[in-house]
Amino acid sequence: MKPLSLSTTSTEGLVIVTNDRDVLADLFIYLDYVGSREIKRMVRNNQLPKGDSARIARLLGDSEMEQAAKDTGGAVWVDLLDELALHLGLVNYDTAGEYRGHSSVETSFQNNYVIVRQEEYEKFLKLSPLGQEQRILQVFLHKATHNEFYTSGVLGRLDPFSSWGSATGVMPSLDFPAVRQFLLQQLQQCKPGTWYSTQSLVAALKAEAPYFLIPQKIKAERWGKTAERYDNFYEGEDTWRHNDKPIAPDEPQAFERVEGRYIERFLEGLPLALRFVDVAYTTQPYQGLHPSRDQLRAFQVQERFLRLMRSEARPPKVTVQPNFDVVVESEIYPAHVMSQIKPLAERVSAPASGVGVSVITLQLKKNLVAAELVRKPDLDVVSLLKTLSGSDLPPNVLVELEEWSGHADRFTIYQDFGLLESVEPLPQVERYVEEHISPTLRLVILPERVTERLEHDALAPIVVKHQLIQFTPLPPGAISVFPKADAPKEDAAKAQAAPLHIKRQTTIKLTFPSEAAFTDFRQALADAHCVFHADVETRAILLAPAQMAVFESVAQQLASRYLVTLDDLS
Amino acid sequence: MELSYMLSQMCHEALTDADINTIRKARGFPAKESLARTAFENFFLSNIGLQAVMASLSENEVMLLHLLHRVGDEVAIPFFSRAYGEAKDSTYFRPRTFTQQNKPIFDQVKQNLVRKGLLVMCEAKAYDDSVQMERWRFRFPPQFAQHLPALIRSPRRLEGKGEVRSDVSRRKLLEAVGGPAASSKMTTGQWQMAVKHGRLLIGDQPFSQEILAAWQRAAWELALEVIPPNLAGDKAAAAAYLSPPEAALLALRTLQPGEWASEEQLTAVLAMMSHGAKVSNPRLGHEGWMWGCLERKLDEAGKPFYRLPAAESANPDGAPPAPGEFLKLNPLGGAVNVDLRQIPFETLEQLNVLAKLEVILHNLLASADALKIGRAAPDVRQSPLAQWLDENAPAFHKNFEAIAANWGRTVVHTNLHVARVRDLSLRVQLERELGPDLQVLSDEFVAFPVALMPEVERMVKKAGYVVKTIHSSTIKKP
Repeated sequence: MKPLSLSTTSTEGLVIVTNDRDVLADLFIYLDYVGSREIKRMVRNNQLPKGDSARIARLLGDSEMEQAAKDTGGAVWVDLLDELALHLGLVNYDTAGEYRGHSSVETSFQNNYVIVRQEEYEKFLKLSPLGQEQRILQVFLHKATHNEFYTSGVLGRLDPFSSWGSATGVMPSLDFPAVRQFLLQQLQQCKPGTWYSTQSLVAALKAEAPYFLIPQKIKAERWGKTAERYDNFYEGEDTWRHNDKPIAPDEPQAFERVEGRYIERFLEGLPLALRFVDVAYTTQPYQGLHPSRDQLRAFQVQERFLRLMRSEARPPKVTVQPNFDVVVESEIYPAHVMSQIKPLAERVSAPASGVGVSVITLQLKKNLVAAELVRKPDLDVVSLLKTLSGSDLPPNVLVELEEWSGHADRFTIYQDFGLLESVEPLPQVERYVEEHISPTLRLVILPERVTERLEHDALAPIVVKHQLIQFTPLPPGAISVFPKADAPKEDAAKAQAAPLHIKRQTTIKLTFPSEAAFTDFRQALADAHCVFHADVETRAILLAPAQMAVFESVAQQLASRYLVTLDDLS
Repeated sequence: MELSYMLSQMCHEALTDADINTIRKARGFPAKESLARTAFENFFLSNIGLQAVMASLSENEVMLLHLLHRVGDEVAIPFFSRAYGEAKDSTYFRPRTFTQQNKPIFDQVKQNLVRKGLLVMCEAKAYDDSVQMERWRFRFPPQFAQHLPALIRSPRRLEGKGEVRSDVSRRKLLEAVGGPAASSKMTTGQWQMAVKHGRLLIGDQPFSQEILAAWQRAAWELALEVIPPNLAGDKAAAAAYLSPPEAALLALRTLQPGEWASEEQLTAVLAMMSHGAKVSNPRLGHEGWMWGCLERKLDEAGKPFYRLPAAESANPDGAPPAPGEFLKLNPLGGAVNVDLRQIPFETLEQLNVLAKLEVILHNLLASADALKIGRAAPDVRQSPLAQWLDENAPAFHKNFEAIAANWGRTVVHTNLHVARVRDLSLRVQLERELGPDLQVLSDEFVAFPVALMPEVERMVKKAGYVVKTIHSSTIKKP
């Protein structure tokens, strides 16, 4: 086929539509979200619940989308990601449903949870960014349920043909994946950044490949009848009337009225969604027959489209800056790079996408680095960043990272170990020792086996199972750093009375440190006919100043149990 | 519900002014000082007027409060039916509601106990469709218990000791060496006395005086032919039920020295304490004495009276026998023969801990066991029994010597967390916050109780660090 001869055009007076959203980046945000929660799809229509759609939209950083999700119950971009993840095999959920009763006319989806398929996800993650984009492109190319004649693109604004009669005629036999592939190949002839006239594309195709969409020889239907070329296509005065005016193949501009409309709708579908093209629409109100035509007046291809189609892609560029920022520049969302950096850093800026390169800025954080090192003790953060950036790190970052790596080891808890304390060397249990804490203390595994062995050797170990909230005192005579039951006793009189410190406020509020003392004093004051207020929750007794003498008298009565000291609070 | 909460609710919501005035008068609270409800609340738990009010209670009410004290928890209205009459669930014409059935009981409880300042009442919060009558809860303040009158009104005063059948428990013990059964029905299962794997066991529990006493009480109950009420599924009723022996023991505990209770006085407590039980054998006291649980004394007319066994009555011969009287060195081997007819039970418990026991030709033999001696608590290893064994049985002496040389030198600590802290300021902070609950083991290691982990984690995170955890299950086993 000869190269197409396309004319450039000006976009003056046209409204340009560019897609800022990166499907691949957004897909990972969607997967992170559904992977971290239990998302139950709606019972009747099997869609994502409104709340989840809104939350995903918020995570995508699009407040308009979030508001639309809240107002209408969903967002088309989120639905796109949802469907894309399913077609990529990255998530699983029931799509068939079941009829709940005899009179059900539609299936229902009970307890239908979105499950991330972890293995497939890992495989997808390991693909290069180019590979990931190409997988996504394949899904878009082969989406059989969508047909540009009848379904608008996710970002499209053109009205579709009526689908009346679409199961008959030429429509069932059209190979849309092949058509889309063909058109993408034609778009590769365009220069990036140059606006081309859609009409010129239509004219070029009419001249060079008039049967790119509907074959010249039309196959017979299953009933043996061969349809006319444009049997499925009708125009109408308005969008409601679907069968007013059929289009005959020999009518003037029949190609422009059918294939031409398709081309406009194709351009605002797959290529716009995947950021292959920008498009420009006329602002003039449409006057002709419906569905509308010649509204999408111009298009320009992106550089990233051409490189993707040539399977070229610049690798992501990672720069670690002296202020601990990690800047990731990539024309295709670098999921694998991000999965390595995200655990160590916080995102500072949302990806700024425009001409095709996304720039993501994150900042390394000490607590995140330390936490990741706890999770993966073998991780070498410095090496990782050097490898990703392809260069040495700034000296101050290097120093700090090495210090942060030590942070992961600042506090280590040993759970379910025993502590062996002995003045003897005990070589017979050395194989159970995990750490030598001091000459007399060892951290051991399997303390019950250690005990058995020591008993067997007639070493009579004392086994202490400490209480949950405090240490169990050891019996007298035990050689141990832990508290023993025979703590030194003072003389008998003092030993019976427990030191008691009472906080006294200027309002003569007496707060007791223990429930027992509070109860005893409260009862004793009542017995002494003292008037006071008792606050059970704060264990406080409030007295009038005149009652202090009564309190002091009560304190005397209880002196054999409590040595009262009043601590005045300022 | 906590007692303090119930009291507060009662004083501020459940009681009317008239109720408060009545309680104030009954208990003798100073009028002016207890005018405010908050002050009244404080006075309620005081000892003021309790003795006088308790003295005005009927016998049934005294028993009721003793039982409530024993239950130690809040109860609902049906509990009081045993004292104030059963609720009638239907009239001739139609069934009555819960409120209709229990209102008379509620009125009596309020009049006779709450308005005398003896009981705390409040309404439990509930979110079901229960009526208020079902939600009332009552509680007896434990601090009032010391003023409760004795359960046995007018006990008999008798001087001197009575008889205690200490042979009963001794016969049970002898079952271990093949002696005849002390009770024809209670020799198997949980009451089987036997020596197994070097230990003297009752059922599958190591021998103890406590279990032996429980056997006696069970035999006592069996002798009474008791059919207990069906309390399955009714936790509250089950908590408020005492078996006849338990009821008798509770009643006898309230006697003063020199006081005794008759058979009739003991039986009188059953209606309240063992409410709903059918007792075929009415000789509560007699069977208790027969099974060695009670002491019996006959008065001048030969009528029996009972009390809990006094120490001097249980050991009529005075001081317990010295170990040499019930232990004899076996001429063959290093074991010691044990005379089960003489050995005090407490000593037998200690022997069970210290030695390996076995029965040979109907004789109980005790052999030295280094493992058992090593595991014994210091007070057992230093008991008169242990001293005798050490001095008189060479095999035991050898083990005691070895254990004494090593005991206390090795300790295995379990159920605690050990942490390595590599930051000095963090360690200082932990020491300051946890105080005696943190044990410093070395410059880098500390230990603390398991339940303090959340607090420690909080401190570590606040200090900007991460908690790294190493679990013993991740370490390769040797």
